Amino acid sequence: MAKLKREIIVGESRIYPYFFVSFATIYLILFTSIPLLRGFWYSFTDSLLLNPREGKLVGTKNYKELLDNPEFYNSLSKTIIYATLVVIGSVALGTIAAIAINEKLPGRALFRSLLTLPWAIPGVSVVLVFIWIYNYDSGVANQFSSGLGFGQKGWLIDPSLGMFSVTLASIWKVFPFIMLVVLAALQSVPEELREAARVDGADRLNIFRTVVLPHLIPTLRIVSLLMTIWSIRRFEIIYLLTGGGPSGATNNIVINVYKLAFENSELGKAAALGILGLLLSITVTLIYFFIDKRQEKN
Amino acid sequence: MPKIVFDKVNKYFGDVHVIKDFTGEIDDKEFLVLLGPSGCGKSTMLRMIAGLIDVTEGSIYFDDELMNDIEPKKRNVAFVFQSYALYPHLTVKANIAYPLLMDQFRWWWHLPFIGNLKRRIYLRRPEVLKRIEEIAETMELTQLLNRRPKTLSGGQRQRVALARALVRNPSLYLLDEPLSNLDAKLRAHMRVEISNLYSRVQKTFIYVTHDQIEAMTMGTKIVLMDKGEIQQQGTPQEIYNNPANVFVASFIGSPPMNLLNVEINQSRITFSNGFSLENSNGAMPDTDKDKVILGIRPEKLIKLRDSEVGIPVTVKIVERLGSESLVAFELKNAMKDSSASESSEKRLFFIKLGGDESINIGDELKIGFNFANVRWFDVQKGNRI
Amino acid sequence: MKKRFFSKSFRWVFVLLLSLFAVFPVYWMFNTSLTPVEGLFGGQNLIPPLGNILDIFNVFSTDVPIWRWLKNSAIVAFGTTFSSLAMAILAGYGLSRYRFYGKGVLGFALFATQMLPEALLIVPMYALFMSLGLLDGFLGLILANTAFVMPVAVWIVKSAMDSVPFEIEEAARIDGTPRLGVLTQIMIPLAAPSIAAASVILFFDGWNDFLFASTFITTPEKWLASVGLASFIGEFVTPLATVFSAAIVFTIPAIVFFLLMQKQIVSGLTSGSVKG
Repeated sequence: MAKLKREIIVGESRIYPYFFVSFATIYLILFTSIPLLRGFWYSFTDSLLLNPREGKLVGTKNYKELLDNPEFYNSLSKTIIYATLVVIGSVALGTIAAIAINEKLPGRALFRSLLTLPWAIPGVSVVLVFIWIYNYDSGVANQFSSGLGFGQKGWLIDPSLGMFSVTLASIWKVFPFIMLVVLAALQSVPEELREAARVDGADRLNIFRTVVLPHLIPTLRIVSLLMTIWSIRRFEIIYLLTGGGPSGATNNIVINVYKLAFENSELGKAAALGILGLLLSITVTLIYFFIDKRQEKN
Repeated sequence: MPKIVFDKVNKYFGDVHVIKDFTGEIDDKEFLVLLGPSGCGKSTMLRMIAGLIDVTEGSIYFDDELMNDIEPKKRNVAFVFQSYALYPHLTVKANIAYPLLMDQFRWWWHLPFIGNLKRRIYLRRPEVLKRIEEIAETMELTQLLNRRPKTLSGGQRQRVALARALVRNPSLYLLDEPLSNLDAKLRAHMRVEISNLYSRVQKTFIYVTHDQIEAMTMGTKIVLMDKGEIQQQGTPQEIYNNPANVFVASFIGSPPMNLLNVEINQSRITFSNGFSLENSNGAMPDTDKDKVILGIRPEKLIKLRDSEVGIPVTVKIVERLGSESLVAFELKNAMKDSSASESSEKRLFFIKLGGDESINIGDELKIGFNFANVRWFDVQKGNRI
Repeated sequence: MKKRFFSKSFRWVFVLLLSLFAVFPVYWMFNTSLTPVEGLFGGQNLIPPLGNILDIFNVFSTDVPIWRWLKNSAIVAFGTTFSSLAMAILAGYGLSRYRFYGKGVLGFALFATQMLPEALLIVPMYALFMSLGLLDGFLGLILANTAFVMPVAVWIVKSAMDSVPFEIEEAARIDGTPRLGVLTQIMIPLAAPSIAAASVILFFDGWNDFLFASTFITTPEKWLASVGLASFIGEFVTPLATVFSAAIVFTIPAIVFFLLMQKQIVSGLTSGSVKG
């Protein structure tokens, strides 16, 4: 009844809603859908960056070349590894931080602001600092590392450490977002449910498992999905920290696309790779939705 | 058990003084109602009894044992919440079994698989299953055992909440406005259920509500609170017949007690409309003030014949309830001069008459009463005199 | 009682350590900008010489064109904010208050754009902008940034408007407010905190962007601050203190605004997605 009423009084005209959403819609069509379609088109051509119009259709040649190249699978695995590590790390860290800071503590407001800080810092600044921290000769990371007896590490130079360094910087930047979202969810846990558990004799961990966690899980799921998508997309931090190196250790799909297009000028191929990356994002989203649906059935 | 004793209990939230010098006793097997308007502190009091909130000052004793620092689970109480507080992702069966499970819980059950295993083993024990089945049958929940709270109606959820409270066989039952979220008909039904439960288990019940009808019908003793202070404690009859102050008088009874401002001179009472009466059959208030409040319940007022001497009133509202009629009236000016009309009250007072009385709006009546039924109150402080 | 104190102080120490972890890189920026060159190599001190705190701004006294960079970034950031906000308010209102064919599709499409990797779209966008002559200009950047961040703003504005009871609007209409007036006089003021939060997010999306800024703009005079800062990577001419001073100047506005608007930003982003 309420919705009908709303429609009658506020949304009378059939035209008005279209008016309101038209600007945004047209804009997105122009600047998102059209490039997407053109990208799709380019992926089947052999266009070059300098003169995209002159590309000729070459069918699925680009895709074949990509899929035959072991480099693709390296990118794919790096993308997945990076995304997995960052999601697990940031969600875990963010959730723990949220739980820790949910109770009254001396200096709580200050701590909260400090913990939110990394999120506010622009990507480029983050990169600059971490490059310096990771610096082999003079970076503070190695200062600590030698001090603790581990010796100096090639954080950005050693292929086996590249992924770690990049992941650490990413988790650092991203965990506050999760912390804030989880904190909001924690604060909406109904107090009476907690009280009921206390009266029933549950200790703190039990209260967490029986009352808090079930409440958190939907939120965690959404936030994980968001983080996964963002990780697949992430360009700045990795590109500027390692450029995909060392030796391809952090060369994820997105960086590869960039390199193919702007360093090799192979527009067509870059587009094809980009489409594959998009497929990855879509697949991941679908997986999340299916898991969600199955959970609901339970 | 337990007999509960409150000794000058005070509660502060920061600087806000929410419970003031709460002192009293609750006998074993009493059905005590904590009654009062919203914000009077009754829910806070209940939670202090349960151990969910700390006591700032004062002491609470269960059977002479100091309870202030003891956790809820050790107090052997059951708590029924206004919102039922059922665990949303557990089945009805698991909800009811939860307190039993927690009684068995050891700290090493938290380890990953051990806990799960132990839980399953425990829930398969015949005596546990039997107990759950018994309780489910008592609360008529046998059909619903495998459902989730989401799928249940309000009344069903309430019964699950009660079942969960029952299952531990507590010595004290605490209920926090359990019927507020139910519709009127269901509420009446559940009131009976709870009363039945009380007579069945023969334990102490403490029941919080703002509904005075619930209080009067269910309680063996009522503690009426306002703004953190006890206004009066006693049986429903005591509180009804002998209210300790104006607040109690106007809170209890529907419609509330009529409170009229009067001037007294020896045994002569003058109402605000100028009309005077001689007090012939009751006590006068024990005070040297000349202005007091005269309180008398609507059902104790008598409609006199026009020819008799009585307070002149004008009927303003008539509510016919079938079995009785509720008539609201204003005092009518007895004198014609203007000074009296300025000071006359425009307030409504009530009288209960029979269902088939022919009364209409605008009618002028004469009202009388027996002074033995009058209760006197102080004008400034509101207390009984 | 003793148990509570124990767990509380443990918790406090944990939060302290976590905060140190969060703050350290930021602190390090300040530290490095204040440390003289000699102190940087072979072991930097944890605490810099605090002689002149204003040294963190030393970049202004060098010939690094920081002002120009900041100005360029500001132009793009403001442009992104305004264009996105204008469209987002309209679209958010339409999505919040009306039912129409294609509403579900539009909502889904908006969400779907968030899945698109910029690095994918940048390729055809580059080609497109090249043919439109929008490369090497701020307008192109504004257009590109807006395309990606506007859906987020639509989401925030729509959520905020959803929570305004529609009775208020109805009252206004009955009182004679014209349709567009309802938007400007009623909805926008009531949704103002969320709109402010959205503005902060929009602004800093343009401010922080690196991908588009570095790809589209070629003439050094038009460099944004993010590109300018990134240009320090790998070159060994500019003293580190200057580099980090520039980074600090670039970062401070973001810190200030995000800290001020924390609550609104989170509630703007999460309302609707946090299930109660």
